[in-house]
Amino acid sequence: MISTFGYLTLALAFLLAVYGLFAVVLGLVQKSAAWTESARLALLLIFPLVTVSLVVLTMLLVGQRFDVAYVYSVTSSEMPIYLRLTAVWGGQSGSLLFWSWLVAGFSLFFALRKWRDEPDLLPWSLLVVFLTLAFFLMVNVFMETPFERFWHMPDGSRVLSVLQPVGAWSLVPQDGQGLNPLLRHPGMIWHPPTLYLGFIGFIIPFALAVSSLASGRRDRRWVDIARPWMLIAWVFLTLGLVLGMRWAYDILGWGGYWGWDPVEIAALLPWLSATAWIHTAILQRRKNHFKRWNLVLVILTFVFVIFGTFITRSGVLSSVHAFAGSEIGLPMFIYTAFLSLGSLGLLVYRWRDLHTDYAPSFGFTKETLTLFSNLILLSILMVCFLGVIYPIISELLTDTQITVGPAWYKRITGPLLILQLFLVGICPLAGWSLTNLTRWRKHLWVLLPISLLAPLAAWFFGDVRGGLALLCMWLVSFSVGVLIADYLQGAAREKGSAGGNILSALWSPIQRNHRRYGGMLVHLGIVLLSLGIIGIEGLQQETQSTLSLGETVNLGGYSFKFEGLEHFEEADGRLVTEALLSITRDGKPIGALYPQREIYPNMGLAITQPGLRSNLAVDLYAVLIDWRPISQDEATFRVFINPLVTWLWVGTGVVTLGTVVALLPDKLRRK
Amino acid sequence: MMADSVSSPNNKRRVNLWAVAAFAGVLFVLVLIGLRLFQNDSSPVELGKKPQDFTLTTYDGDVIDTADLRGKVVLVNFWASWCATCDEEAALLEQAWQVYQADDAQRVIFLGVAYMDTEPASRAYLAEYGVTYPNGPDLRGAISKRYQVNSVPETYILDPEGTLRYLKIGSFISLDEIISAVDAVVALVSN
Repeated sequence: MISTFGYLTLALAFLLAVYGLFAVVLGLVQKSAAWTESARLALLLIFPLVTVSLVVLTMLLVGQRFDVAYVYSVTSSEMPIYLRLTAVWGGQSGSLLFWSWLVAGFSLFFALRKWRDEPDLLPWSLLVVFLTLAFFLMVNVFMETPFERFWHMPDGSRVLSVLQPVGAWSLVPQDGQGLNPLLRHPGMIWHPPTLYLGFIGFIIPFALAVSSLASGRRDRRWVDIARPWMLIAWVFLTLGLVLGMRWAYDILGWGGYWGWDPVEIAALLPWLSATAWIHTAILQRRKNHFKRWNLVLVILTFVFVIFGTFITRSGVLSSVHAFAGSEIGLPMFIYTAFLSLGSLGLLVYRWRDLHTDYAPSFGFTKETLTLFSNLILLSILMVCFLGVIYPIISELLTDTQITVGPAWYKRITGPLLILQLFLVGICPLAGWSLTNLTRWRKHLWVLLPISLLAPLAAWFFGDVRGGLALLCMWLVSFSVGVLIADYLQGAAREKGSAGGNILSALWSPIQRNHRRYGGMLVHLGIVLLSLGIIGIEGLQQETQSTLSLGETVNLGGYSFKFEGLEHFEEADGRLVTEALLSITRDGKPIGALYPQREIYPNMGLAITQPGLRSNLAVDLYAVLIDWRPISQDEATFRVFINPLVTWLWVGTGVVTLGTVVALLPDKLRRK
Repeated sequence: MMADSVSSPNNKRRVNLWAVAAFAGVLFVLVLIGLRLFQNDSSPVELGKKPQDFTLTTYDGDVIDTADLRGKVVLVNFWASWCATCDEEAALLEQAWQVYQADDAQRVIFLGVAYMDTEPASRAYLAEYGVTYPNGPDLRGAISKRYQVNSVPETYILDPEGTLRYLKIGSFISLDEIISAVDAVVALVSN
């Protein structure tokens, strides 16, 4: 049977991971390069095996093999093919297989490198990779396998097993239960894979850091090798987080994109520490400072990845993201404990060897700004971490799980984010040594007044009165101005050598220093992205109103008129109630919103689909809360005006582009 | 490639307070999470185990704590006004409730929990099907979280000790089915 074949390839991959683990340990104990090489070759084989297993699972899902328990639990016959494909990561065991496949994939790239130039970094790195692979494959093979089938036993009972029990016959349900309606969204295609790619990508920098520590090296070679891996993982995690925000914005219908859910925050933790690392790694590369700090950050990043995975999959915390409680809590807990205590032990053991005579010199330099930026990022990280574990502490002490609400996070992280935005804005003005700002003096005279135009425009035309929102808008426009001016200065310097060709001149700064300008582009993206955050946090307007047919609700200069309610059934069995709200501004019609409530009768579940109309300036967003079941001529709506939200998605695009530029090969650099 | 290695860590390694603090911090967090992990309520709701007690504030304003219902068989039904298969079951449950109301010993109590619903819709639904046993909203999802309810209707029957003796995912299709399920738990207790 094909499902048995999928299981056996997975089991074989697990055995190879166990072999690799032994081989690499033997290589370390006996100082034998041959054992290490054998382990490396074993690693090369694991990826194809897990790929076969994943392909088999995909075939089972697409082929609607409802006798397979996983297929039964996450798909149903009416689901379109793209959702059946995404069901690979729609449940616990499938997503764990997908996770193992990604670990194997990253490991393959790692193992493909010959490591002749750094032989001492290889064995310890392999040890970390094999430990992780063996752990996740073990969970997949013994505890959470997606290949179990339903069987009828002769005594009338029903059992789950990969192999056919003696005397049993196959039980094939007519249809599956189907995927949770909240997961039936195009966001399901991109959000989980990008997030997983981000999470798992951090394994390579972590393995290199552990390897550098364990082998007793004090140089920065591991940082050089880890940098591209870190950037790739970081950009995928960024994309994963933002795609999740978009999904929440489109489907959860509370008018925002970030609910400060414990699992969201758990995904933000490694992002924060990785962002801090990306900056201090530059300092280690340039000045050989922050040796210890960079090791701490990269270890924290991966430990937070595993911590986040653990709390999502173990049922320790309640969250919209959590998987149903399963048996993997204990092994995941042991693995998390081993990883965190082991890395900490190694760090403590080598701490003194990594000492550098570094005394921070404070001044208007990139070094000082990086230090402050790290301090802010770490403060946000601490706040978020405390917020995540607070429900656990409260439950132990008071027997009631008290979740820390969004207001608490916002109150503390808000000012820190504004400060961070300020640092991003002034970063290009600072140099690596003390700068006297002469280069910038004449530009600042132009930039400062121009940057005031944005808050002034918001005051006069957008009717924005909040001081904090206006300050943030000024910071954004100032930062954008400085970043563009910095780039144009670079281009102007190259204009002569480019023979007056403007396009060549514009490309030349990137050609000369793609890492720096890639980084600046990422900063520009972050600044644009923060416009979206300012829009929701500072300028959002909302109202809730019960309207009879033909009645209007007014908000922020817009009028929303309830035109009607329609009920229909979709081909997949959904019962949809759709309202029509026509929108006018100053008496002129500008469009309509179609908020929906969808009911999945087979699953007894209902979800909201907000009506949305967006442009670069504003999103008009309406949710159908309730309607009178009998007369149907009255309905309740929550209407939101969300200014500038589109910039969140635009900014993320710029961040991605900037990371790609920063990752361009160094040989691009013009001699 | 240059690789300045540390020859041997022979230099004295004094116990560093920072290291102790770091270990203590990590251990503290691990112990916290470990304790949480081993608490019962994250495990699935199973027959023969006691689900956590809950408080239901009914639409009539009464507050019912299941901890105060020891000595009675308690039927907990999760429903929603938008649920297509709940309506028939609502009428059947009400009929069953009338049967047990007639029993002078009052050994059985029904509780209805409106899952992911709005109050006006829930009230209209209860009125439409003439439901008279105590019903209330699942405030902040606290009750459905305890019972790990992901869909409706779902019904749980607890014995007088608060132990789960019967559960049904999906709706009852006849009055007999409800009566026999409840009677089975009552009989279990009597024996």
